[in-house]
Amino acid sequence: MVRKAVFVLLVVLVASAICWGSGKQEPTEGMAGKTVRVLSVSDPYPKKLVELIPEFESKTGIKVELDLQGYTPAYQKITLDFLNKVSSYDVVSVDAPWVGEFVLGKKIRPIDDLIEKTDPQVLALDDLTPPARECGMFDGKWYALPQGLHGEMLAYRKDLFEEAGVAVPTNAKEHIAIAKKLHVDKNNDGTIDQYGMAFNGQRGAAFGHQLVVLMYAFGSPIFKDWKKQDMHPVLDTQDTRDALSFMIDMKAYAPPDVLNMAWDERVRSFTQKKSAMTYIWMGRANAVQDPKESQIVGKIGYTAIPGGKRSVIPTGGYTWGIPSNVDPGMIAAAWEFIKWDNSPETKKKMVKIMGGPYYERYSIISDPELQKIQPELEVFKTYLDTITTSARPPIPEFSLMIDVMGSIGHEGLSESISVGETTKRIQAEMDRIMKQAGYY
Amino acid sequence: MSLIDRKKRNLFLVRASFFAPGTLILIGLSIFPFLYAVILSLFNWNLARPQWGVHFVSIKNYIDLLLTSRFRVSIVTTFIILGGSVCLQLVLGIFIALLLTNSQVKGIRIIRAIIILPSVVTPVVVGLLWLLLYKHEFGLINFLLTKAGLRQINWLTTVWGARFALIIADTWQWTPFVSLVVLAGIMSIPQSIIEASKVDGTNPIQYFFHIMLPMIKPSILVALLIRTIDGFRVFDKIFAITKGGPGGATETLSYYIYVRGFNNFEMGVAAAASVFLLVLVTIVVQMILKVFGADKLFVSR
Repeated sequence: MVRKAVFVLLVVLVASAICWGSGKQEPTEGMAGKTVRVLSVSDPYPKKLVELIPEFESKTGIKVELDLQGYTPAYQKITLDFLNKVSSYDVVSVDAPWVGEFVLGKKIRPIDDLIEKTDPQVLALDDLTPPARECGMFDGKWYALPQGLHGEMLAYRKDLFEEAGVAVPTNAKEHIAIAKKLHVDKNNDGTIDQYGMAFNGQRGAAFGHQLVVLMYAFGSPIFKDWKKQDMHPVLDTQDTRDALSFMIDMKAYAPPDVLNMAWDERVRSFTQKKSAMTYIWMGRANAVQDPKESQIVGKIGYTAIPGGKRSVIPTGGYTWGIPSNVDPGMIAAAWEFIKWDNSPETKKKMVKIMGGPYYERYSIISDPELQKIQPELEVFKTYLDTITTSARPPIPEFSLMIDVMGSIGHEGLSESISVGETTKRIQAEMDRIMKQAGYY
Repeated sequence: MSLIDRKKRNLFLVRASFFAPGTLILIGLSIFPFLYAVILSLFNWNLARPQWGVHFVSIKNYIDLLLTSRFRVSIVTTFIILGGSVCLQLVLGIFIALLLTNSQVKGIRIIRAIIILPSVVTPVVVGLLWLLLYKHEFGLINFLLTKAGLRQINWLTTVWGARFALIIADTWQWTPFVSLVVLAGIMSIPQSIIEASKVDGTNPIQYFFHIMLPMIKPSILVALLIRTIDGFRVFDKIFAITKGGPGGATETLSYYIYVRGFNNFEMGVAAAASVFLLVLVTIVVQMILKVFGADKLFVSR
């Protein structure tokens, strides 16, 4: 009897060991037990990536420690971490416009050697769209791979547009007219219940980025053609003045606290039915489409940002880079993580989880399954040739420029100084920065 | 070595062992960082551009700062916010201290203990708390204004609204501290003087202005000095509430230093601005001491 019981127990143990073994994938050779420390800006993409990380961990045996930081703190951490002999992180997220600064400052290492050693089918670099390639490359070398590239667009309430009988704006004039029409006191109590347009009006990086994008849409990029090494900022122009004047005019149809509004606040104002329109980085589209966070699910339309001369979708989102002072023993594991996140399979899963469109891969944009759940991908397809890094050029001085835009520009927005004085001062400050950097 | 010499040496060692820890701490925590900042201010060093290296530029950083209008404006803004908050804190602090002297009130000891609570909260938390209170849409202050039939106020989007908002937040946090310092001064007034004034028939106003105020002048001076020095450094609340805006309306010198140092990573310029701040604080403190006649004030006590 006892022998029989022991035999049955052994059979059960062996069978369960076989079952357990077959369910678990073989860890990547030599990687098991390693821990990759990842520093990322706390954007919706990495926040949701957390859900897929266990898959990566069980597949490779590599543990992932993800440190999510705010936009400015992440930039500060990466810059300060560079001073350490060995980086505290193995992978860092790099905002598309930071690439130039990080490359020339040697804060991130080139990854061409790692790409060469990797099966091209796995990386599928040919599948990357031009803006995605542009964000990861500098001077013809690869430095990073896309983490979750997306664009900034104008989000609007389709139901309110229909109700008011207005068409999707194609230029700034139409945009402001619609904002005025949708800026209403619904219950006639003397206070506005629905604001026309929410945008980033908070001093600093928030307004700096907003102004740069609108300047581009108004036909006044910071440089005429930075890709051709024309590094003279051209900002004291009528187009820049028009862009700033547009924002000042739009302020009248924005929430009263627009001067203290940043990325999260503007989207919240939109999802909570406070504002009829907002600019939105599409990486946050999941918040807009999530019934737990949004009261306007199914009522949202997207279009390119209307400007004075053109409508644009500036490139946004992040790439993954490897710090140049990374522990050499961790490079392979760090690359394994980047490779995994960048694979078409992971991207597809992420688009499904996020509910937000990403345009970094052709296979994603043209995937019929994803198009069904992501109608916005069609908009991206239409605008793919206009999606550009030119609005926010990835040159080393970019962060300083944003500080200038976000501080002096804000004086203009808050009408402490005139529009003309603002652009003059921005021009002078930009010239000083570029001269100091040795461009001329 | 003679016995006297040995005794002298031992005495010196004993004395040295007493003052050495303090001296070392002073050198390590105050003198060295100060000298380091002064030296750093003479160099061009940008952490975000390590490829540029570190270059000696003499006093160029100081000259550049003086030529920068944003820097000059930040000094004016510092004085506006500092002046507003310290004056308000002193007036309210003295008033609250007077209320707290009444030991007849039931539970006065508990009230005295509770009142200090805002001062023990981390300033950045105070900043976030007040940011929520000031929010236009769902802030408690605007909610109460609406309930009272008044118009909502855009606290943080107008120049003076934002400055006032910061002054209020700072006053809320530090008035209790001022009141406790002043209270200590009031409590230390000898009973005999109070009784003598009563015998002489002074009314409360005469008593306050002619007896109490001169007697608590040293306490007021201490509170004023501490709050002024601290006020020059205020950063957390600005960071949490206004980010220096709208425009540059609330960008104080310390916030400006943060931007140049930790947003732009211009360490030399930030160090030069810090040295300016130190000089400014020293001048203002000296002026306050002179106005209060501090040397005579403390000697006479």
